Amino acid sequence: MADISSGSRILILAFALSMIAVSFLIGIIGKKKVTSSQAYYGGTGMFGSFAIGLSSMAGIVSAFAIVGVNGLVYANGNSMGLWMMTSCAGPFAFILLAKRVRAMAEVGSVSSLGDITDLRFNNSRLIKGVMSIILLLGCVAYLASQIKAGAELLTHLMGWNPLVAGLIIFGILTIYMSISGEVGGIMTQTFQGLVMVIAGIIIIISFFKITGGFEVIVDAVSNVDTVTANGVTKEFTPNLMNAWGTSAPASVFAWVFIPIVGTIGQPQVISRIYALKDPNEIPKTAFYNCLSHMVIAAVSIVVGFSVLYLVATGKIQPLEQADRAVFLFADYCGLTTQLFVYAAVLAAAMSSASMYLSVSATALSRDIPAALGKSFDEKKQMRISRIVMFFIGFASIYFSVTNAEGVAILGTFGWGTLMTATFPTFILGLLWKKASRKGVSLALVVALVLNLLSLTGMKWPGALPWYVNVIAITLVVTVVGSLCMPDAELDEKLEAVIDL
Amino acid sequence: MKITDKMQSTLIIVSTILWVVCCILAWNERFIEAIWSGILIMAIYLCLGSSKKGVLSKKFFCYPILIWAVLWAVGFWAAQHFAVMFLDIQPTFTILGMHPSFAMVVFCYWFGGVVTISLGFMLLRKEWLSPDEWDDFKKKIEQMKKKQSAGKHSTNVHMNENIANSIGKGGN
Repeated sequence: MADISSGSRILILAFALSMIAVSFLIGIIGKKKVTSSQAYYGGTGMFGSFAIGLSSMAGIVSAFAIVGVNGLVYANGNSMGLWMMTSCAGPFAFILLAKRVRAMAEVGSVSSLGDITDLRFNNSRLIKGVMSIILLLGCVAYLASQIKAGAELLTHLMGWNPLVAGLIIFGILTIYMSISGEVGGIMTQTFQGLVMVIAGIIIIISFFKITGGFEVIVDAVSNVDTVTANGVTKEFTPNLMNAWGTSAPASVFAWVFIPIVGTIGQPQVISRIYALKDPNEIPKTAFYNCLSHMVIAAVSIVVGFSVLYLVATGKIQPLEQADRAVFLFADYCGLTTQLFVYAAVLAAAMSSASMYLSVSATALSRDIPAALGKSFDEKKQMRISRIVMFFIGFASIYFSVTNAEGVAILGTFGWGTLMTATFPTFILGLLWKKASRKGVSLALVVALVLNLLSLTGMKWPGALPWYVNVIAITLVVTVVGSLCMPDAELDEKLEAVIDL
Repeated sequence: MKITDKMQSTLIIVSTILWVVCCILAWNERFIEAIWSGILIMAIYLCLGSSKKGVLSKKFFCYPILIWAVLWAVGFWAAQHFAVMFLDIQPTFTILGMHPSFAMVVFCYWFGGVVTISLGFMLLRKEWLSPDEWDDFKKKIEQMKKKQSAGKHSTNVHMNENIANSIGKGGN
């Protein structure tokens, strides 16, 4: 349990619980807007630029960004910070895909990613099915890790049983998501994104208050070799302060390249595009996304640097676990920062979890059955989806808090896995007229097999994260397959979309 | 700048080859070269994503795309230059208090990406898609839908006439 006075602990808990309660209320209010299956599954054409900009940022920024990245900056310097400095990734993704994804919603009815593949690849069941299976795997993996992070937060704060903590936070989330679907998801994510931004500003101010700026950190970190206390030793080197930190060079490349191109391939970005009411607001949406991301990116970096400074100057003891960095920083700064740090971590975990819950439930209850030739009337379909979402939500809570090893394995299976499914289908599919059904189908099958092999321990050359290799192979298969097995002709409406 | 269908295919093939090149460079720890290849891939995607009816606006190509690519390429080179210059030692100078290598990624990569890609997109949004172009697109899709449904209708009418004729002939 955290070393915090009981009064502060109760205040932090009350603040965190009130955020969960407001999210629940917003989610329930969202139900009024659910007037069709398109609204339930995609919130299609219902929201403005502020909501979409903030909710897509909140969906992308998971608890890892606030807890994990800070810990890695403390451990290895800025290398993982490079991942978070990709604040232009949202606008990059919007430039590439937004007008074409939004245009697809004019060509036909779009309420899920599977609907876009139907339109683009002439109702290919294989593409829809395999893509949905890969999305399901990636989203469940991410969902489990968000639940674990959120449950651990309350366990750390209050000493509660993780299952009780998980049920309180994510049980409530599962209820409002299954009731109001993506409409509730987007509305609550906007609120949670706003909480993260406000918390971020307070954390940045705290950073300048306790350190005075970067110069003293560079000085402190460069002039101490090791600090040892309670049997824990932290080694320092001036290299911790440069651009790359002390990580392997291959990972430096990956942490620059993958978040930028990867953001285009994340369902929380693609699905948000068709939720936008007015396509002329896409650039403004991208700008809101970018500005809000900048605040969170700054948090991810300055907290890690602050803790390096605090340890180097002997103000706090070396950390037993690097990913406690953000909490030790908050404890050092005092109650106001503590309140907002805990709320920000919770908001990040909840916003990403709600997104992954809705994508995985839609894939399992709607897109995979449709790929197998099963279709239901609108009302029945929504009822099935609600039940499936409820089941996935509670099953994930149980799995996440009772199977730490499984979550750790699945944790490696998120971001890159989603990219392997969405890159051939959406990026090549909407940027390249010659991307063919057979080429993309083959690539998705290869991606699924390679993802599963990698999950079971297949080794890849070099120090790159395994999924970079899988994406490269998937792209080669898509291009070669499409050139060797072209489609007879491209529908004129699709041609107009790609030409837009 | 024209991006014909053939050019589109060429750019996709080049970007895919560059993905493979990136992996090979990264396996061999040539990470700055891998990042430069990555910037080329991203620039190609940006050109394809921002083109309209097979034409890429020269303005949009110069800013944000080209300025962004140059800023990042130079920024990463400078970050590596200062990282090597001050390897294992305290830097002899700082930039706004930051290690010069770190300052390069903050100003060129992080803020640089924001003032080119994000701000450029906002400022030159009409080069990417104007409200008129969107309205034209919607009208075009509506017309195509009408034409297709009319085509289906006339095919159905034609089929019905044939069936009626054949039934009539059979009756004779």
